[in-house]
Amino acid sequence: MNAGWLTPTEAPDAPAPVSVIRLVLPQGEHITADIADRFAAQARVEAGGVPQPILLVITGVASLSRGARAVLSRSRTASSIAVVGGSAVDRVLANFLIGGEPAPCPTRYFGNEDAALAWLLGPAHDG
Amino acid sequence: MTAEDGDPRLAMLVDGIVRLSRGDLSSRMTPSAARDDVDAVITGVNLLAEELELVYRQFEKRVENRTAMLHQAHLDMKRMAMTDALTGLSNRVDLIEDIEKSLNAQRSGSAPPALLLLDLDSFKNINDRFGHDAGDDVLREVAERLRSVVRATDTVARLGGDEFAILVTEATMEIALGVANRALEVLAQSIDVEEFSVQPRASIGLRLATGEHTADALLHEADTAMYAAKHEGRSTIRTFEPVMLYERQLRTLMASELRDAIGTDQLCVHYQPVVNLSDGSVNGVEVLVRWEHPSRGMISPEDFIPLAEEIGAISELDRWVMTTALQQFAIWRAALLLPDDFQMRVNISAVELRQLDMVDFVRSLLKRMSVPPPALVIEITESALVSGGEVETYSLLSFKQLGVSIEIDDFGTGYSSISYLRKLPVDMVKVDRSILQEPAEGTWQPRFVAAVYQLIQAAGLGAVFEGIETQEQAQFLRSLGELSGQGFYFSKPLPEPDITALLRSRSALPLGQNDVLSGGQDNDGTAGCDS
Repeated sequence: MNAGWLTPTEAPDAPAPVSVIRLVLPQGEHITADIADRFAAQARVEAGGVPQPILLVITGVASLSRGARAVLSRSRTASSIAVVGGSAVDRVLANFLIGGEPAPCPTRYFGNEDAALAWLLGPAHDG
Repeated sequence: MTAEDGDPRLAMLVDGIVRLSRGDLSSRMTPSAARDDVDAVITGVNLLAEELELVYRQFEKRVENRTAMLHQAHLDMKRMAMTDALTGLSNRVDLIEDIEKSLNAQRSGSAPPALLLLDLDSFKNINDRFGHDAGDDVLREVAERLRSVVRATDTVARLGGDEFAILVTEATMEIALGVANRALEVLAQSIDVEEFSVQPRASIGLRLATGEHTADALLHEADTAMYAAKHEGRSTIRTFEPVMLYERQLRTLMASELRDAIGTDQLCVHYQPVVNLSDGSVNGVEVLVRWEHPSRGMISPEDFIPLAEEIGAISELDRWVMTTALQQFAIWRAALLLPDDFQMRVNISAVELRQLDMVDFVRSLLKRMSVPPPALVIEITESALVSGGEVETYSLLSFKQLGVSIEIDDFGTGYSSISYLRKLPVDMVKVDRSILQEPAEGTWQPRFVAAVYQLIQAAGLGAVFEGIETQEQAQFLRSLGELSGQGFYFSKPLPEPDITALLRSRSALPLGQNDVLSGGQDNDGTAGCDS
């Protein structure tokens, strides 16, 4: 993990709209509750007290602990969350992330960021 | 890579699933960097195993908690099952367990245990007079006091009602008697109930265990001794003697025979004339029950009336006597010329006053027999009236409303004040024989008798003197005023044919000479029942 991952960053090919908070979890890391908390705190700062759409990139993470998954279900910062991954492993991890505790806002998994952003910026979400 | 290619991850996956299936839920597999479908399956299995492990741990924790709760509940139930809820003392089950432990210790060479059974004297009166809450307070206080007289190794138990037990472990007769005496001492101190003070007092039966005792036998023998103590009087300690068992068996047998005897020709009533002392005319009779036992002969009412009260047969007995008496009265009224003021005096037990249907029973009986209510006098002992509660007073008022007279029997024996008696719905008193006779020397004191009579008169009550045995007594009482009396001087209680003959003759009984109609001066030992 490096400092760049703690702040919203722009996608290399398609800049994300300013209103979407982009969180990229460190590849190869076992994501614990502590790590997830730090990301959640960062998102709260970015949101400035107003719920915002969040793009959560989990591509390449080694694992997501139960504690880390619980941080997502407790989040009050997001108005909607798009979880993005690139592999079959990411998809399995994402579905354990989404499928556990009921999420506080509409949450979906996407195989690429474009589809995720389109959904986040779309008019309405069905959760 | 695929399985055909011999992908080692598939073999690892199989091994991992085997470990999980064996119960090793902490087993995890490491996916490769390829993050392909096989890695996705490995990741999924890892996550499922984690969930399974968590659920299993939670389940185990829950089982552990529930087991602990169950264990605690079991302990609580056991404690409840072993404890008397009202006093917190041991109960009968716990006591028996402790007795058995002590008996086992005795078999191993320890000193024997002693068992004390305590029954509170007159506790029922406390309940009746002050209510059950006050009664419960007294029981709790008694429990506390009994705790204070034993050693830590002894057991104090409440066996139910007002019955307590103390198990003195490793005892001698001296130690056990010491505990019993201390128990009597602490119970002799009064307990405040509302604005009154009550002295609980107890009768105590004591039994020191022998090598052959079982817990049940020890309890039974201590109970038998307690039973004997209770019969002996208040605040008494009795140690068990084998003869007590025989007496108790006899009493049990008599109780069963008495139940059978009520309503059969074994029971009969005798009638003792009540005489107008101014002219010797018979102005009434007192009805007295007799039990002619087929093998033991005449049994004294002194013996069987308390027994009837004890076994709950007194109501049946009293009602049988009342029915028999009023039937006889109806026959006399039809066949003889009875004086207008002739009254039938029937004793009823204090227990009857608590039976709410007693008044209705008497009312319907009077109606059925066409007996005018004023012709019936109900005699109730002084002690019953003094210790009676609201129900008793209600019954007395109902009798009075019905027109039946109430007479205090054995007046002078119950320590009641005249002013208290004036508050009760009572018409007259029957002055106890002890007033006429000075107990120590058998001499009598006319001035004292006159003073008693004046008090009764001043209270506005009528008086009948019982136990008149001499001409001197009869003449003195006659000199006091318009009085009635009964006693062996005039006549002993007579069976129905004899009293009928006397009433038919309308003859006056002798006032001025020392002869006695029918029978001599022998007292047939029915004090409290006969006069």
